[in-house]
Amino acid sequence: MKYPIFLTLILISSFVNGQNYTLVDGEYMDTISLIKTDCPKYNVYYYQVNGKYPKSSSSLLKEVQAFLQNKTYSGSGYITFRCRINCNGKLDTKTQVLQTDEKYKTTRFDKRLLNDLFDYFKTLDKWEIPTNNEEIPFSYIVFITFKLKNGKIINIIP
Amino acid sequence: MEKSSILFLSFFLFAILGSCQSNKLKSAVCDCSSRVVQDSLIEKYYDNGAEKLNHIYNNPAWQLYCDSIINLCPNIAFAYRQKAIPYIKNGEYEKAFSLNDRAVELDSVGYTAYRGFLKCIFTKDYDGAIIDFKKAQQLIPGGYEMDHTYFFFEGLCNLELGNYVKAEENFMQDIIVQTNGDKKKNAHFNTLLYVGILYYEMKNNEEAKEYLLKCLAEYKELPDANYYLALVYKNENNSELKEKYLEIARTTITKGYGTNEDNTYYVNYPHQITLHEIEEEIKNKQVR
Repeated sequence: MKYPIFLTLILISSFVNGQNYTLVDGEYMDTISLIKTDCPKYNVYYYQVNGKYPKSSSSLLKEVQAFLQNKTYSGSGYITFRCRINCNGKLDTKTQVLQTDEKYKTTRFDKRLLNDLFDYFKTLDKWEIPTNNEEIPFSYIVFITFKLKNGKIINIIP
Repeated sequence: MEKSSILFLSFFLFAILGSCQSNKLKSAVCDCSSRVVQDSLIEKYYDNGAEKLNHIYNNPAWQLYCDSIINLCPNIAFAYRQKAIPYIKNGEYEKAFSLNDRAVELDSVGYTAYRGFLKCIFTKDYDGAIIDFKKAQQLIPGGYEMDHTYFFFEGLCNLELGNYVKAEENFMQDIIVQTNGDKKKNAHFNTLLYVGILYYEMKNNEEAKEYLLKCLAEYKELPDANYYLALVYKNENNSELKEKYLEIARTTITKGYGTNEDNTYYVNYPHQITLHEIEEEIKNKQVR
């Protein structure tokens, strides 16, 4: 009985503090997995299904800058969120986070910044829904990278 | 405890000896400084291995083929560059650039410009890309990467950084290299596009129109050129031509026309637009 309560407290604490989760294959923003069982899952990326997010990098940049308003952060480099999009076009699995400095060396950014960017990432709801030869939608992998300079988002990849 | 320590040390010693033996074997088999040996490894593990995976870079075999070359001859720059391909495409920049940096260390002539290209197009690290292209220019004056001159990429970087005077200089050098200074010849339509965009950003409407129309003479369906031409007409309060070119941009992008560069599947090129931007502009009927 003690364990469920303990785990719940950890989870609540994690959401509040923006704790990341380090698993064998990398660091994650969450451990939530909403895999739809009826959704075929291929090990393909957005670029293999012509599924780049359908807005330009500059439009996304304006959006994220507006989303973050005038909050101040620090650091320079790249923050990437990578996850799977399900056959309804929604974020499906736990989201991996990759962080490097400007010289592409591993670094760690402020958790508040990560959480705010992740909140923005979750608002992206226009992902493509590709279908296979039998016209059945399937899930695929996407990522969005935020390029930062002195705490400001200055570009979006792709 | 004592027994397990001895066992561990014995295993450790065995591993070292084994590795030394295999290193001896490697040097006996492979003369890694020989171009013939290097080419034969690339032929065996890349041309007849990785390359046969039909560009499915995420197949684990891709890494195994590249690692096979690296393990036998760690001085083959090409293997590091190829090993990095899935990482750059999948957003794993630390792995991608540590491998590309190694390739440049081993063969700066062959791979400096390529790394600059990755920084310019994939990671939008324009300052870093300019450094690489300037170095590449010294190594191979008038060189090309991915079908464009080094000047072209420097121009893109300076355009994105807002260094418009430098960008103009870069693009003019690009045009001279492409045309051998023959003014009757047209440069690549993407050079013309970006010169047009540059003049649009500089609010130099006449020259922006000149280059965008030249670009459209080469590739009339290019949505980006039609879109930016519409924005120039918007600047001139010419709503009729603005709407005309926005409509062409919408029609052509809907039909599948777009920037004709291989890597646009992976990343957006600088200033590249999508249907979203065209429709937003069409919605915005108010002329500036």
